[in-house]
Amino acid sequence: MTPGGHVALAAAARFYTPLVALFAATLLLRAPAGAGSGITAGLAFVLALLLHVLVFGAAAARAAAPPLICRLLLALGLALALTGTLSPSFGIASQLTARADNARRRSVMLPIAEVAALAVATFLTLAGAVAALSSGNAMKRLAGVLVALVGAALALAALGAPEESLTTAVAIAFGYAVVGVAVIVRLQETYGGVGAAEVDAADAQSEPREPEA
Amino acid sequence: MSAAYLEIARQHAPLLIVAVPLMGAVVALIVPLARLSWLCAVAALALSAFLAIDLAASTLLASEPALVLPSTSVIDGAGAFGVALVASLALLVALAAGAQLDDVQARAAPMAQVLSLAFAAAWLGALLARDLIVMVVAVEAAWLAGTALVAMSGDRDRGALNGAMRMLAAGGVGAALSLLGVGFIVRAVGSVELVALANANIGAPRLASIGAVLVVASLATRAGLAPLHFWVGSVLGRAGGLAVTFVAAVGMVGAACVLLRFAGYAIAAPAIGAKLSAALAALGAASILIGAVQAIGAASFRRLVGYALASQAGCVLLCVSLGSPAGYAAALLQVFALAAAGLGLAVAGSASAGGSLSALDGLGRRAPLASLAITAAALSLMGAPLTIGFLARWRLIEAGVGAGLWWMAGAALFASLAAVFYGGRLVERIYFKRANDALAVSAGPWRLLVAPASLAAVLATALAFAPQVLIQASARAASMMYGVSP
Repeated sequence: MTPGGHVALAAAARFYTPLVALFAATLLLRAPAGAGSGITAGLAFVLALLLHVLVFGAAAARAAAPPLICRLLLALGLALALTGTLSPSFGIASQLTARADNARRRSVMLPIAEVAALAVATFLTLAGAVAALSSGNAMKRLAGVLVALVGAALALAALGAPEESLTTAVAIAFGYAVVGVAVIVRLQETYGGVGAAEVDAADAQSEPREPEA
Repeated sequence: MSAAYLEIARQHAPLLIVAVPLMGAVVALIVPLARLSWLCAVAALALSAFLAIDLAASTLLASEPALVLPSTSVIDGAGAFGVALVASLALLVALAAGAQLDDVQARAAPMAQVLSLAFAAAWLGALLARDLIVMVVAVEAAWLAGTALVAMSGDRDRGALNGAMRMLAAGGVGAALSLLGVGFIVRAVGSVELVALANANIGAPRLASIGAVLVVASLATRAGLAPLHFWVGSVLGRAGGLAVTFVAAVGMVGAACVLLRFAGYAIAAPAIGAKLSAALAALGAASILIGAVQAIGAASFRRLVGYALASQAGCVLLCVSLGSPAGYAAALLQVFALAAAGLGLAVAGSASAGGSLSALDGLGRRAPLASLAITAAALSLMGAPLTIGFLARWRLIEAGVGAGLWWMAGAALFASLAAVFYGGRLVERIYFKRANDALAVSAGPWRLLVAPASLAAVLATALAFAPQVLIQASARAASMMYGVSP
């Protein structure tokens, strides 16, 4: 199989990359400093790149993430880690978490910004839901589900829901992505396509007939 | 010695009810033989069911037990009633699954048992959840396990994969809606605790109402309530017997119980109770109407089962929408009747070859006990006298008329009349049609494993002859949810 040749796998990889990045960012920003969450977040970030290499090949991955940018990011990460080690109070995670907590306590965030974030998140959720229920392609349905779940996670963040609910939302999105891709790969193998119309037509043809009494 | 161990198990019942099936799943996973993994599943669910029934008996029929509650659990009336019901259903369905192990490839059979156990454990966890987040996680875990179970049966009929995809889309949208709803509720109430929802002085009732309606919509999708049941036809129509029995008899009833529990907390909150009642009543009436019409027109037995259960689940919502202890007790009786009918139709129906209506022709002579279970379930759906369905329907009419809502009595009568048509069709085929030789019932000894579930369905339907225990348990559960003396 040529790199990126499997349509379902290639499309799934494109969905996984932002999810993995979101998970890594959540870990980095929300988890308490000093608990090893930084390295976990970094590893999760690398997983996105590895997935790209596995599905599309090394050349495509180099084009998507040029080595120079990778080196710079690596240096920045190392610098942040050193800063955090030398003085935990400068750790980005604790600073950002503290800022978020303060914002919540003091209501620093303008209500209009909160409402706007919630509106965007709700729009994403509803748009994803409509795509998941009405799209004519299984891959697009899964994409709709994931967009809806990302929208819901953003809404939870905008509404100031507890930290564990955000992690829950990301975990649920991962769960749906894993099961969804598995089902879609099986659909592709057994029906030869993932279009809802062709699958429904094939099902209608193979629907067991009522035998004559 | 054993009494001491039993006492320890009793004290940790909420944890063990969920943990034992999961431990069984681990054992089933490492066991290579299909039949051995099935035995592990049955043993784990038997222990879980025993603990759940003991918990329900000590909570609802005696004084409240002294329990060591894990930080994620809380025992309430609906939860205690629900876990006993769902754990018993899971055990009976798992036992009957011994006759359907051929539905999946031998190598994949242990994985099917693992998914079944995870499916049951997750629904039980949702019924014991202390807060909304744990509840949502448990419901999603159950749904994903159910979707994978349905997809596994695609080895025999690829149509099951289409059903699994629909389940996935429905579940994903439901998950997004419930997370959004939880966010709204947390913002309005200031807590994720279910108990806080009923007791808090809600500052933003509109936001909380929207949140509660979104969570209800998500749970109604899992319970197969019309018009949110677009996954039901393709899943029940094309999936293998093992997946169908678990999804219909355990999943749909489990979701109805979780919905009932959440609605019990939300409807008790004065700030949002009225709006949620209206939403539940509208959804319940729509489900009765749409489900009944679809069941009458169904060309497949399994699809008929799904639509009939949707219609009956509508009655559950009507009861709970009354917002009174009497209505809530009636809702619990309706759920029990729904479970008995689901068990009779889904499990006993699997005794017939395939899922077509014509497979029922002459079944009365070929499989008398399974036929009796289907007949009892059909009569219960009709609300025929001396069945548990009649008792539940009567309580609904009594509570509805007592609240001055006569239209509810009309809706209940419509559900019964429609059931006469589709239930009557089943009885006619079983006893008054000649058997088709092309659709013979399998004669292997394992088919006898369906007998306990069939017998239980008949006995549960006949519980109307001695309903005191059930009425006492439902009344106590309702009074616990509403914080009043029984």
